[in-house]
Amino acid sequence: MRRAVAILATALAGTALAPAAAGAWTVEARWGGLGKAPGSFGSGVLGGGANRQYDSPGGVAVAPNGTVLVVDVSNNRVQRFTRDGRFLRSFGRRARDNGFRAIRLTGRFFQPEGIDVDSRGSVYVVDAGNDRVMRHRAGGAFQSRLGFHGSYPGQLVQPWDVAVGPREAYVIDQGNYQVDRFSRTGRYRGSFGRFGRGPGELVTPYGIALNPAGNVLYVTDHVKHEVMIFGTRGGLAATFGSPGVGPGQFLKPAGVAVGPDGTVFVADRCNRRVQRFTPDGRYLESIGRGALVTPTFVDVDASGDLFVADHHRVLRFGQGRGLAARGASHNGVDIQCRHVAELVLRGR
Amino acid sequence: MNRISLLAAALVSTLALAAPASGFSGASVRGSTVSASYAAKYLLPRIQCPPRTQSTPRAGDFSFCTGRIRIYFRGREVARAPFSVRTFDSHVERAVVRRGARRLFRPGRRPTVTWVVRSHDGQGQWATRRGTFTVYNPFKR
Repeated sequence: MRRAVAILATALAGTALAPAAAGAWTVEARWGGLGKAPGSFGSGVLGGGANRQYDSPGGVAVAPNGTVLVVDVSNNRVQRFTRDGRFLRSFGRRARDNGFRAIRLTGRFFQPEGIDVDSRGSVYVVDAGNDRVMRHRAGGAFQSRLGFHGSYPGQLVQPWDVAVGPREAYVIDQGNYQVDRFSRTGRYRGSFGRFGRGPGELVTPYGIALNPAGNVLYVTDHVKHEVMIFGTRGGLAATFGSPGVGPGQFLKPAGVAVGPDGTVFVADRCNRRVQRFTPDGRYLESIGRGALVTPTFVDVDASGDLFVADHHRVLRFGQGRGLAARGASHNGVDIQCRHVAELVLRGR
Repeated sequence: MNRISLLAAALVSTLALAAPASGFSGASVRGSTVSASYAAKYLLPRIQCPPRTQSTPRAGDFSFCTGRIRIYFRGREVARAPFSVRTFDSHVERAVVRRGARRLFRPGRRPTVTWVVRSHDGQGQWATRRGTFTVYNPFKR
C-alpha cells in the first residue's frame, strides 16, 4: 500500500507541470500509404481477411534528433522519417524461424511491432514473430539481442512493445503474460505480472510507456480495456479505464506514450481516437475523433506533438493551425474491432 | 458518466456474458518422434496450439496455449518445460532433462516416453492432453 502511494506520488509530481487542455489538437502532418515502396506501409503479403490488420504500421518512436521511426509490420522493416514525413532510410528484412535458429539471425524481423529509442539513439525493435527484441544503432547496424523464444525466466513469447529507461528496458511479453526487465545490453533482470483478470494481472498486455522520471510504467491491456500504473519493480499503483465509448473509457486500448509534461496518451483503437490523461489517470481530452481509423501505437516528441500510427499511415497532431481536414475512410478491415460494430448497431 | 457510455458498458458486459464459452481442447505434442539435444540435456518436442484459442469469445481476440509439459519414462518424470504457443501455431520447446535421466537418451537408444501437457487458453479454461513419443538422439556415440 505504501509502495502504491509512493508510485502515485511520483507520477503526480509531474501533474503540476501538466497544462490544462489547451487549444484543439489538429493534424499537422500525415504520410504513408499502402505498398512496399519507401515511405509506404504494408503490402498485403500476409494475405487478406484477418491478416490485413497487419498492413498498418506498428510502433512509432521519436529519436533524440527529432526524426521519427516507424515499424512497417507487413514489410518487416523500420523506416525513418523527418517529423514532416519525408522518408530518410530504412533497415530490416524478412526472416522467420519457429525453432531456435532465429537467435543467430540479425538485421531481420518477422512481423515486428513495438519500438523505442534510448537517450543515445539506439533503436529497440520488438521482433514479435521471432520472439525477441533487437537493439540497433541509430544507423541500423545490429548491436545486441534481448531475449529469445521460451517461457523460462528471461525468455519471450510474442513480445509486443518496449519502453527504454535510463537503466533498463521493459518488454511486454504477451505469451507469458508478464513484463520483463532487461539491462539495455540484454541481461535479464526480472519480470512481473501474471495471467488473470484481477487487479494487476494481464490478459493481453499491449503497450508500455515509462514516465519522464523513469520510475512509473503505464501498461495497456487490450482485453481488460484498462491501463495499469506500475512501479518499475512491478508494484501496482492504480488502474484507470473501463470498457465503453465515453470519456475515459476504452475499447481495446493499444499503444501508450507519456508526454514531456507527464500526461499520458492512450490509443483507443476501436473508439478511433487517442485519449489524454493526467499522470494518475484522470481524463483530460480526446484527440483525433474523425481523423483516425485504427490508431495503434503513439509517441510524443519533446515539443509535445503527438505521432499516431494509423491505417497505412502516420499522423502528427499538434496544437497549431493544422492541415486541411480529410475524412478518414474505414473499409472494415480491422477484425479486432468487429464487436464494436455490433455494439453500435445494438445501441441504435 | 453519460447515458451513451452507460449503455455501451452494459452492452459490452452483456456481449461478454451472452457469448458461449468455446471448448478449449488443449495443447499437444505434434509428431511421434522427438529429438534430443547434444548430451541429452534437452528434449525438443514440437508443441501445437489448436485454432480458435481465444482470450474472449469474440472473434479476433486470439490468445495462447500456456502451460507445462511433463515427460515420463516408466512412471518417473524425466523432463519438463513451461511453454506458451500462439493459437493455430506450433513451436519447438526445450524440455530440460533431469541429470539422472540423461543416460536414457544416449545415442543409439530410442526409448518411448509418455507426455502430459496441461495448458490453459486466454479465458482461463484448462485442458490436459497426453500421449507418447519416441526419443531419437541424432548425435554419434
